Amino acid sequence: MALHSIHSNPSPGKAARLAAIPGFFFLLAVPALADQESDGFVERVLAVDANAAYGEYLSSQCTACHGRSESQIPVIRGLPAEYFVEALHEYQTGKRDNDVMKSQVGSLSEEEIAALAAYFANQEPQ
Amino acid sequence: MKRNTIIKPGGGLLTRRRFGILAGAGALTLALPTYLRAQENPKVVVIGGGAGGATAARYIAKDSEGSIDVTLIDDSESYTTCFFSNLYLGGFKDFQQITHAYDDLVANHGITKITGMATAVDREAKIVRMEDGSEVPYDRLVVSPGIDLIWDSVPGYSEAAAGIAPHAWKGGPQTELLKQKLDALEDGQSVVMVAPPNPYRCPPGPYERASMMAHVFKEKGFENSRVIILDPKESFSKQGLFQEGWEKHYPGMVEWYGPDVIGEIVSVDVEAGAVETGFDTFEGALLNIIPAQKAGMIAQEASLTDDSGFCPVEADSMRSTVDENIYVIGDASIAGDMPKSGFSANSQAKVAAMNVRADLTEAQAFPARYSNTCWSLIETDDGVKVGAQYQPVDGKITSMEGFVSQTGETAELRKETYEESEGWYSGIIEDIFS
Repeated sequence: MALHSIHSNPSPGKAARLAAIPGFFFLLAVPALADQESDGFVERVLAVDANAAYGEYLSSQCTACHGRSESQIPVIRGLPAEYFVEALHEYQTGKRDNDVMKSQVGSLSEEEIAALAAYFANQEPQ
Repeated sequence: MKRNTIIKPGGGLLTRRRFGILAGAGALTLALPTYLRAQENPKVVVIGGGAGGATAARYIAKDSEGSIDVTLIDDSESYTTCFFSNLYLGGFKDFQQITHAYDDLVANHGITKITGMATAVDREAKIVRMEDGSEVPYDRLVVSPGIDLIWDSVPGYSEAAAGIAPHAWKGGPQTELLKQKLDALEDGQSVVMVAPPNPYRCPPGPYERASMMAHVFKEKGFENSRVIILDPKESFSKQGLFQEGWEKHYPGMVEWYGPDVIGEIVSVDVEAGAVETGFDTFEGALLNIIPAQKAGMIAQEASLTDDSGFCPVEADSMRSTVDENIYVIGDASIAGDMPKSGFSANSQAKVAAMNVRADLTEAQAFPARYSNTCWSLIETDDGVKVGAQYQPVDGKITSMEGFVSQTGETAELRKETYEESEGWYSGIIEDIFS
């Protein structure tokens, strides 16, 4: 079992990383790569007006583990928003299996996931 | 003072983020006369350059983008993490790998590092007094001194005795001393550890340490050495996991005795290598005495502690309940359900940093969220973990969602857990010191 199945997915392209439009409020109305299994979750979250300042604050919880060098814990800076949202949703639903991640994201609201996704999509990986 | 935060020192360009703040604050600010914009930046002083203090200094400086002057006070040039020091003891890490300089914090974020000892806080005048007589003024003070040891909680133990029987419960020379003494043992020679009473830094730490000591014995092919743990507690963190691991990897080598067996720990004689308990006297060629703990000295000096020896704080901000201009984070604080750990300190630092910035600038304070995970290594590639999320509930930092490794897990999962801990270490070091 891959601890972070995030590794087994194709590396997101740079173009996709630019999907989020930077600004005080990130606008995330990007055409979503709809996940048939997510019951529209990904599209719904991507349509949220994400609060960038809140995303920046919430992100500090992630950066306690997720740094800029690849390890068993993947780099998440620069992940495209739709990929990020889908991954967090999969931790919430149990499709991805990791105790730390389940605990970290279990109580995140859609607005919080949107804020995080927008923040990290706008970061340089290195 | 708040208006200053809109304009970078030197009249630099507005960043995108600042523009957003500006838009919220109203364009009126731009019309301020120059002399008003030229006021001094607010000052934040952080005492203690460990997982809590260095994180707080970094986040305040980084996120205020030059609008707050941040000074970090620590009496060392570098910081040796107490977390992962057991892996150094076991030979999995070298000392340099767990030791980190402050250079990047200074270079990347403009933090002023003062290498010296803060000896007092004049809370009325808002000044930190240094051992050399100098004074450091602050608008907000973050106190993150970690723990001090209560030497006489183990009768016969003392600071001087720690030169013979190291506690190694603060990263640094004590850690190296314990390893030197451990590595010098021969087959048949044993370690006697006295574990601390609650609350103390790193709840699984003593038991991970015992595992690493047994690992060293096993690697050397020792058959007659023992690691004996004398514990004032009736149970301990991850007990089932450790005891399962000891039986599996080090059968007969690790012995744990709680108070129901040994009664009280009566006294220690470090010269004789003996610990007298209510049941018997235990002898070891190496004694590792971990006494009871309290908040670091400066927290006591500044009267930020209560009868418990630790510092009460507001659950939603880490602000001291006795002084609104002071935040206390990390092991020195009373953080509700959160254990005293490097991860906790790092998490608390971010909540404090956000609130410090909200106090002094236009920055917004969001609801506090805390988290912690403690990984422990039992034997090569056999890692376990315990962790939780925390939020303020009725004035207390309260555990919300937790998890703990289970006995009987596959070797594959345990290996992944260990590798995850290595990834975490590199991540959190970057988050604290880069």
